[in-house]
Amino acid sequence: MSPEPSTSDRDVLLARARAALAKQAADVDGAHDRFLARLEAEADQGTWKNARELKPLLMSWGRMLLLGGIAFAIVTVSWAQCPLYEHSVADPDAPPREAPLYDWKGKQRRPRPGDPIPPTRVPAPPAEPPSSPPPQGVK
Amino acid sequence: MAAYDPAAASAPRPTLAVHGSSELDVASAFREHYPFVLRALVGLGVPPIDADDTAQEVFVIAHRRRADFDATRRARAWLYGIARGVARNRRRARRPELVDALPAAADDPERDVVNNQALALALRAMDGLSSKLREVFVLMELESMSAPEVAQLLELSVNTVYSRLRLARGRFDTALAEIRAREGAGGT
Repeated sequence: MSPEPSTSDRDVLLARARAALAKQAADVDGAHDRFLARLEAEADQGTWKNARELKPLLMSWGRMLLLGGIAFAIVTVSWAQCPLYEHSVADPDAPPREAPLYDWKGKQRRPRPGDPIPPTRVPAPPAEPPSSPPPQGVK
Repeated sequence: MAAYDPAAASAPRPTLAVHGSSELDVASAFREHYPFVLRALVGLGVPPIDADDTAQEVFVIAHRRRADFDATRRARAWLYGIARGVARNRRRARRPELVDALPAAADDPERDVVNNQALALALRAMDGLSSKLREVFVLMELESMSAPEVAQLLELSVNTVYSRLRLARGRFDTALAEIRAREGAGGT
C-alpha cells in the first residue's frame, strides 16, 4: 500500500484543482451576457409566478372537484331514471315492480303490453284442525 | 492570461434595475460572485461540465427571490445557500471523465490537462466525505476562506469548523491514498 499523502501533496493537488476551476475575465463576461439574455427572455415571457403558490393550486383543485361532482351527479341521476336500470342492477329474485299509475306528465297511464303483471292474490289454504294428544293408557 | 478580478471589471454594462433598496441587484452581483458560485457547485458535487448551467440557474433563482434578500446578510452567504440547495437537487452520479471536457486555455493546454486530472482526482477523493465535512473542506481548501468566514457563512461555531476540517482532511487523505494505490495496482 502506498504511503499516506503528505500535506504538501494535498496542497499541490488542490492548488491544481483550483487552477482548473479558475475563470478568466472573458469567461465571466460571457456568462454574464448569457445571464442577462436569459433574464430578458424571461421578462418578455411575462411575470414569473411561484409554482408553489397555494391559492391557484387550491382553486384549480376545487374547480376540478366541483365539475367532477356535477358530472357524476348528472350521470347517476340519468342512469337511475333509465328503463334499463331495472334490468341491469335490480335483484332478479325480487318481485316485479308494479306499473306506475301515472306518467311523468301526471296523466293516468293505460296499461301496456310490456308492463309487469301485478301479483294476484292467492287464497290462503284452509287451516288444519289442531292435533289432539293421544289418550293416555292406550297401548 | 490573468484570472478574473472583480474590481477590474468596472466597464459599464447593462444591468437590471434595482426595485428597492433592500433588494439585491443580482445582475451586478453576478460578475462578482459567479466564480465563487461555480467553484462551490463543483465542490458540492455538481459535475464540472454542468457547473456553468447550474450557476446560471442559481443566479436566476436569486433574481426571482431578490425581494427576499436580507440586506443584513452578505450576498455571498445568500448565494451560497441557494447554490447548496440547487446542488443538492442537481447532484447526480459522479462522472469524473467529464472533467476532461472542460475547455482548455489556448496558451498552455498541457498544464490544463494536468489541472483537470488533479481536479478529477480531488473530486473522487471528496466523494467519501459527508455533506457537512465536504462543505467545510471545499470552502477552506478550495476557496481558501478562513475559519471565521466559513463559520459565518455556514452559521457554525469556529471550533466546529476546525473540527470538521480536521476530520475532512483525514478522510480526504485516506481516500486519496486508496485511489492512488488502486490505480497503481491496476498498472495505470
